[in-house]
Formats: sequence, C-alpha cells, structure tokens
Amino acid sequence: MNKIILQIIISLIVGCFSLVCSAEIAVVVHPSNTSADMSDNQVAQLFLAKKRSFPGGGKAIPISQAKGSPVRELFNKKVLKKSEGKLKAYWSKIVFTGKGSPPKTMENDAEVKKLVADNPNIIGYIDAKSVDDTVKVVLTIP
Amino acid sequence: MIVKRLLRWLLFVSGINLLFVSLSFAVTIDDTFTISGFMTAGAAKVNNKDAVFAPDNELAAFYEIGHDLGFTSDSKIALQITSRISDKFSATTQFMGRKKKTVALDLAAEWAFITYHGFENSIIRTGRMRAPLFQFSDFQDVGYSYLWVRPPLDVLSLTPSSIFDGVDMIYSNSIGDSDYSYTFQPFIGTAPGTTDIVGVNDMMGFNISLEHEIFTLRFMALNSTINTQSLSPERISVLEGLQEAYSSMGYNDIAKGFDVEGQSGELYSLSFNVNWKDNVFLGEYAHRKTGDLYIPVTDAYFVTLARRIGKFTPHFTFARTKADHTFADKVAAVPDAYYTLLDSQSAGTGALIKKYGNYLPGAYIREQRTMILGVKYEPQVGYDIKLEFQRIIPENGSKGQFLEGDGVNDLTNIDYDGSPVNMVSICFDIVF
Repeated sequence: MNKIILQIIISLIVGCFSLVCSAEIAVVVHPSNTSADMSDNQVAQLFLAKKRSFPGGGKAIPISQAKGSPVRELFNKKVLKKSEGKLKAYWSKIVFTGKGSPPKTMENDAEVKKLVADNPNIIGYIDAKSVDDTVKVVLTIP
Repeated sequence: MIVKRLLRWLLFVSGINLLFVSLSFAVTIDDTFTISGFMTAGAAKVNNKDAVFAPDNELAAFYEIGHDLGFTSDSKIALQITSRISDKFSATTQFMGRKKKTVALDLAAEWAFITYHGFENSIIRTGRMRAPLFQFSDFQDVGYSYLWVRPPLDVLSLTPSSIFDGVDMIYSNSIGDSDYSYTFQPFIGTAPGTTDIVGVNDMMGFNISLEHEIFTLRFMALNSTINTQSLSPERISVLEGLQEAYSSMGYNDIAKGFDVEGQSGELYSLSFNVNWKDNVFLGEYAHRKTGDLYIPVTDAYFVTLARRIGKFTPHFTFARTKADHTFADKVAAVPDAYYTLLDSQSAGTGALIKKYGNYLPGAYIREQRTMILGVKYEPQVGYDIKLEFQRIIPENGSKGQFLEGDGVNDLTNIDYDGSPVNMVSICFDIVF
C-alpha cells in the first residue's frame, strides 16, 4: 500500500516537473542583430559549432544554461536533439582536437539576458516568460 | 600472477572512479584558462602464444598485445590546457602519458598549437596537431568519444604518423539557409617518423564533410613525400644492401622499390556516420597509394552497426585490409641462380639478400579480416566501461597486424603461423 502511495507521489512530482519543462523557450539575440527568424537547425548549428556566424552576418557566440536546468534540458532535447550524454561525447571530440569549446554556461535567464543585451555577437536561450525588450527573439520553441 | 595484476588494475580503476566522482568536468579559471583531460585504463590479451598484436605505424611503440594479459597498450592519460591569449588568439597544449614498450612512461606534449579566431567562419591553427586523415583520427585517443576499446586500426594504421607539424584551416558553414552544414579543412606540413617507421614531408591535403542532423559524410585526400630520417642505421643499411644487390643482378625496378626516400605517398579516405534515433551505422574506406615500393598499395575499410539500449550500446564491426602483392611477387620471382651467383662472390650474401628481400615486402603486406563484437556501458555522463571480443583472421599468407615473434627488427623469429587469433579487451574511459 505504502509503495502505491509512494508511486503516486513520485508520478505527481514527475508530472509537475514535466509541466515546468513544457514551458516555452525563446532563443534570443541582441536587438541590433539583423538576423531574421531562425530555424531549429540553424540555432543547433551555432550551438554545436557547426557554423560560427549568424545567417545575417556577424560572428556568433552561443551561451548555454547550467546543467540540470529545465530550460537547458528542453533546449537539448528539442533543438540540439541530443541527450546530455551524447552532447558530452560530441564535445569531447571537438575539445580534444582543439577545434572549439562548448558554449559557456550561465546560471539563469537574467544572466543570459544581460550578456545578450550587452553583446551583439551573443545568442542565448531563456524561458519565453523572461523575454523583454532588451533582447530580440529569433526562435520560439513550444 | 594474472589474477594479482587484474586485481591491481581493478583497484586502480575504482580509485580513479572515486576520484572522478569528486571531480567536476572542465576546470575553467577566470575565463582565459581551461584545463580538460581524459583517461583510458585498459587490459587486453590474445589466445595465441606466438602472436603479438602491433600495428605497423607509430602505434607500434605502444601496442604489444600478447598472450599474457597486458595493461599498457590502451592505457593513457592526457591533460589539455587552453589559454586565451587575446580575443583573437588562443594556445592549446595537450600532454599525454602513456607506457612505451621501451620506456616506463612516455610523457610528452602530444600537441601544442596556436589558434587564430579572427575570422567569422573559420579558425587557423599552427603548431603540432593531429593530422585529420580519417574519421576517427582527430580523437583517436579519446576513448569516451567512440564505441570501441580502440578505433579499427585496420584503417588508422595505414599512415606512419597521426600527428603533423604545420598549418591548417577549419572553415564551417551552413549551405545557404538549409539544414545542411559543411566543414572544409585544408592542411599542410610534415609528419615526423618514429623509430624504424618512415615519416613524410611536404604533406598537403584537405578533408571536406557534409553534415545533417543525423548523418555526416566525409572525404579526405593527402599527398606527401616519404622520408627515411627516422629509420635506424640497421634498417637503412638493410635497405641500401638490397638496392645494391638487386641492381647488380639487373633488377633495377626491385632495387628502386627499396629506395623509398623521396617517393610519393598518397592517402584517400571516405567515411559516413549515421546516428538515427538509437541506431548507429558508420564506416570508412581508405586507400594508401605508394609507387612500386616494398611498402605496398593498401586498401582498408570497416563498417560498424550499433544500437543504444539505455546505458548499454552493443556494437558489431567488420573490417578488412587488402594489400597489393605486385612488388612482393616480383621479388619472389627472382630465380635462385642469381642468389647463388652472389654467394659465389661472397659467401652467405646471396642467402641473406634472398631472405631480407622477400621478408620486407611480405612484412608490410598486412592483410586481414577483423570482426569485433563489443558493448559500451555508460553508467553516467563522462565515463564508460567497454568490453569487446575480436577475431582477427590474417589472409593470403600474411600475418596481419601481428608481429612475427619478438619484434620488427628481428627478422628471424617466425613462430606465428598466421592462423586466426582471438582477442579480448576491456577498458574504462573518462573525460573531465
């Protein structure tokens, strides 16, 4: 009986967690960035160092969020289409050949927004609820 | 004895494991300095007392998988330090510690190069780097990044050296606004040889790869000039003796075949890598083109199928190496009368020339079929444990990637008969 209750509690927690996870994500750049809306794949190319500049020109510096954060998990799953493990193996190939390094990580939406608002080369992602006029949205992921 | 060594190895692995759990991934110090690293602890053995697995290139300095369980062939630890010198420049050095057959521990700066980041879509690197010849060259030491205990050496051992001193450029971009991206990497430099393995000069090549979310296609072409600076004086004198003897017999083409200095060496490779859902399908075909030399034209390929099932990834690989016998056949066809004539001029010379003349081209024909069945277990992001079984079947009278007896310079020890060999390997990989 206790086990069943425990299972219900766990599934409730997991349920709430996935609700949090299902929040929308906004991929944001500096308001002066001339890039039009971007596709999932264009964003993934920048975050995986397969492309180093914005579609509208200018060097792109991707910024990620802390490991384990719901917004990062959703971004990895929906945009990069890689689990944290696959991502680790992918970057170990790039890092140990000196070709590049994974995006720097920020602790929260506010930190990402601050960097993006300060530097026209930066691209980041945040919870869509955190979007304000200091940044420009190039992709929204439901 | 073996049990004791195995226990020691397990203790070592579990020690590292504990250490790892308390380590964070990469250490970043004030944004300008990043230290990262990787390690592999491996053990392997074969089931044939006379066979010693040793690829015929720079890896020969490390690989010696014999009948006794050995712990050193695959084991290594590396530390990479990247420092940002300015906005546009960074410096990378990778140190690697690894046991050499002849030295207790070989700790050397594997690479050291400067990267220029000033361009929008490309980087330029100069220094000592990994030569980007095959699909798995770039990260051939980073066990965690692939499925096997070691990437298929049938293909990787086609070139004498995996590092080069020179310059390269890596240009990456998308094709228009499409979902496809590509990378173009031209490179130029020289590859140092290692003891008794030839090196190459004037290497010039490029690779180009086309990538999509689920697949990568890659092609590489390289042209270079063979140099013999790294051969031992003994090996040089054997080669010179052979040239002299065969030209005195009137076989100038054979004499020329033993004169590899300054000859051209080309290499081509074509590979694919498909990652679709939990399925992995990848492979590579490589062609080494030399002139009519005792180092033969060789083709090698492998295909791998794997499927991720939770934390386990079972995989199967088939690999094959085929070499051209033209030169070896030419030497074998020299009538005995010529050697007898040499013997009559100087006792024993003819027999020696015959032995070495036939041995050298034969030793470089390393034809074999390999089947690898293994599993990679990844309990947590950042480290894995791998177990694999290999069956290596030398073909067409060659000894495959097995030394005959005790060493490459010992031309007399021919105990191993070229029969199929089974190998078992286990390893533990981490990246941090």
